[in-house]
Amino acid sequence: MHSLEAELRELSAGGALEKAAAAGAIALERRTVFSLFEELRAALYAAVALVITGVGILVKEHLDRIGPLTLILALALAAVACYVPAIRTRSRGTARSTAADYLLLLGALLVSADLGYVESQFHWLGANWSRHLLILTALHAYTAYVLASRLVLSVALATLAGWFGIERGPGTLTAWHYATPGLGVRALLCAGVMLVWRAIDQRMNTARFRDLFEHFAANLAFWAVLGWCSDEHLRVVGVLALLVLAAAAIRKALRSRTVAFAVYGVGYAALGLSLVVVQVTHLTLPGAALVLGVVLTAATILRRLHDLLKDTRP
Amino acid sequence: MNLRPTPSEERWLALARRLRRSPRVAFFAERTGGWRTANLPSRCTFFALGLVAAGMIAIIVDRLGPTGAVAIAGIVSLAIAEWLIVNRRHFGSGIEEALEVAGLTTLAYECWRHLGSTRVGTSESIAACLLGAALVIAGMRLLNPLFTTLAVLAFLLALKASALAEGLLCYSVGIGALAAGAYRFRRPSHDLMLDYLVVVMPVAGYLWSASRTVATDYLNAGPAAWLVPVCSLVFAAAALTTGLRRRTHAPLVAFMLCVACAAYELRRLTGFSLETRLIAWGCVLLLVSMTIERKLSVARRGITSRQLRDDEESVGILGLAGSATLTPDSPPSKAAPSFEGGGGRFGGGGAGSEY
Repeated sequence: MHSLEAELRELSAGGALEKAAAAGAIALERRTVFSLFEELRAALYAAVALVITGVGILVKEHLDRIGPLTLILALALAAVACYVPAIRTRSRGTARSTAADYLLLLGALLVSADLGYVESQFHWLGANWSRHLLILTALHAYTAYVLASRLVLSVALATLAGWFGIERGPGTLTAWHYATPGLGVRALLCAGVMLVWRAIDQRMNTARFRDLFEHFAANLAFWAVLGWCSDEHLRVVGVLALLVLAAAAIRKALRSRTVAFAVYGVGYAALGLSLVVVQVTHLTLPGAALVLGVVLTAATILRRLHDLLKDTRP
Repeated sequence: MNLRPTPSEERWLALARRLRRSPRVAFFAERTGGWRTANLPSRCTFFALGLVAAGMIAIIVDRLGPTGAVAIAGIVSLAIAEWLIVNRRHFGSGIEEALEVAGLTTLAYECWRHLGSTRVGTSESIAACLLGAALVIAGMRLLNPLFTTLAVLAFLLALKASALAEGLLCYSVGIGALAAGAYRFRRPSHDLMLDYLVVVMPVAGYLWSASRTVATDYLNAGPAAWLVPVCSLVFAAAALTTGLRRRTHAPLVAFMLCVACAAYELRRLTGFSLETRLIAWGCVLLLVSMTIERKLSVARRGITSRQLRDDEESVGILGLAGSATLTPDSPPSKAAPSFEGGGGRFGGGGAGSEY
């Protein structure tokens, strides 16, 4: 165990930390106050993951035994039960607990599973089956705004990405998954829609969810152009788009003082450029030297940006 | 010339990180000795860049073709890492850690090439020993808890004992770290090294001792087989008691992981199907978490479920990415075989399913 109480007292005495903040921090160092918030949040996430995985297997494996109507009704009832605590706290005007937040997330995921199952059983949308993802996006977005839930909005954005045909999972960790030109365009289009949504959010919702849109859009756009970089025919367009996106991300980082965007800008750019050099040169001596140059330049730029952003943070 | 931050400088660096202040701003600057650190996302990126750089150095030296190219590449990586630490005063920045560990493991590999070939039958043990030595040097030099933990695992691997013995050794190291955590350290990094051991060793112990092929049928198993889940549960109990008594997080994380290991190990005990177990355990976990949160919403003996520190930027992003990962993105495939066409499951945006 270690305690930084002595340093905190020195900081407070030197006027670099307000008395109230120092008292709170000292209580934490002395462990007179101890929060289980992080542990509970991890447990709640694990619980939601377990239930939704179980439901996924249930829906997939036991369609014949349970019957579609029973399953649809059971999932709908479970989802409604999950929404109740969040609706109650909203009607009372009180703050929602973390548990209610994750219960709401579970409810949204159950609704997604239920509607997906309904569509697969009854084919209401026929050949346009994927539109149920659009309906889900709208439903989750509405819930997220009414109940002010970032977790549900992230479900809405992930569902929107699904409608654009962007699959999540271990396979998508490689940029090569996006190597088809069409899918890259879709990912960029999806990122664009998210940015338009962000602009509307900024006007109508005092930008409560602004960063959420930006993180989703940035990652989607970068993976899309990384795919282009790894494609023989789209390499030049990919590299140009990558550099433009990197510049935009760094600009965003400098304006909003967010280190994550500097990491996106520099990290993705280094990855993309290295990928291109490796593919073109097959790692000959000049190729390896070039990659080393790219990596060292990226590290230097990121270091400078990191220091700049940390030093100027209020 | 300082080879690393003094304990006092390291404490001020830890405080700056805890208060989300830059160690280069006033008041901190004169106490941190000019050492530069990075937050978690930057540190991970720097680490990845450092590993790529070390790899490229190895390729360049190899292409140039001198004798002992591997050793030269290792020494070059090590020299750059030391230059970054001593001259540029990097500490926990990621890039110097990657270069240092890559350099040392490369040298360990070169040693193994010479020693391993002469001692037939003990080659794997020697490799694990050398890797452990490289990691422990890197860990102690950089005060990096990840490297020291990996070093302990490598040394245990080198022992080549039976699975159960290795497992019990892991639990013993974990218990030792749990006990040593009571000592008041000057350096926060020493605390972190013990924390990592407390969290990782019981999980490693379970993975080592658990059955690798099929789940054990505990209803018909002998008493010796019960040692695997019992060890996890005993460690969980010890960790929970210690965590609540000392009010530290690492033992509580270890408790949660040990309970998960024991639950997984005893998965065949109930005879329920996988989905039933997942839903049932998920609901139990949800109810327990909700009850604890509600009970501790008002602090009891100082323990609370309320958030006392703001989330770091990276934690917020991870949380949102986690919920997005759980989102179902296609209808159940069994019920909709027509969606499987063309090797892809997605239509998306009005397109066909030919991806």
